[in-house]
Amino acid sequence: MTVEPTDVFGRDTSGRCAVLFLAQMVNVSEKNGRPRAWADVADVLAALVEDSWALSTRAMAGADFATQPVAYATGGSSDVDIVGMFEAPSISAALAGICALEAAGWARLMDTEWLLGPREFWPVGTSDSAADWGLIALWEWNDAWCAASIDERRRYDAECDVAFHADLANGIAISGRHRMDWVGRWHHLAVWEAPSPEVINAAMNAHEHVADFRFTLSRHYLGKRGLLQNILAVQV
Amino acid sequence: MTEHLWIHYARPRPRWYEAAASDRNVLESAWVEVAAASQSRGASLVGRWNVRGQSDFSTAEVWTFRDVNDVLTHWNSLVAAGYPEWFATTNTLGSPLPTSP
Repeated sequence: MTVEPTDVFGRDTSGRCAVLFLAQMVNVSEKNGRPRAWADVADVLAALVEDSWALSTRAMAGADFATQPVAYATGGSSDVDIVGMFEAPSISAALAGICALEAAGWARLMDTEWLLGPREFWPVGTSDSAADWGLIALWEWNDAWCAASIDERRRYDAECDVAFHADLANGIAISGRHRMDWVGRWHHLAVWEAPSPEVINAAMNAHEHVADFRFTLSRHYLGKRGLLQNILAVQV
Repeated sequence: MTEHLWIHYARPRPRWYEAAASDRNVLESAWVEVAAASQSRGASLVGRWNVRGQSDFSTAEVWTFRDVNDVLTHWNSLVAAGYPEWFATTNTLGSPLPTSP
């Protein structure tokens, strides 16, 4: 299960670490405590930015200097309400940051499953301000991939790159690839930003066409991009 | 010293059942070496259990590590030795509980 760069994806060894949160909103009817909790959480997030965290995939890619936290609202299309991806400078920093966020009151706003893992491919593509839909993809190599030869895997990567080139041409930005299997079931994480759900659906069909899913089992979340405080409706 | 918990669940992939005993032995020897190297860096294997009757997996191992980076080093070494290509896995990382203010 070595990491081989492809035509689209380049190897990254920076040690930066994805911090993925899969969350359900809680205490939604609580009018007073939530804004206070958010204010404390926002202070921690601001400190994390000072410590070289990126709070959006655009900031991760160096495409946006905004420092406010971004997430994706699923609108009830899955078992979680909010999915978001930050990036910490290291796995130690990621763990410490998650602890600080929870201690500041994050859990009064969201019940959260946190996943974390080091980046192994650079971000690719450029999303503009109109690309406000996210596809959050977690996936694992299946038994067929594990039994395939090195040559079969390389041919598969080349076939998938055809679809990835089309994704980039259609205005999709991809957060690269982070390795998540050391703390969970899923081997990899990538967040896509696209202009619309239709573009994402067309891209999925294109990946199906090149048999991307022959070798993987995937979990996908679709969400509308927004500032985390807006999705939580906790303006202060 | 703070320690990190790491619970490792595994079940054989189909190819493991079809592999020759001699091939299995070579692979298992490499994975035992990875475990020994982690233990030499201060990790501790608390135990290994059968969980086939009550989970999606076959076995569970419970480890403690001195540093979270040692967990990743342990896992990367197993990956380099081909382990997850023979076993489907899931893992749980545990951090020390926050200390009371």
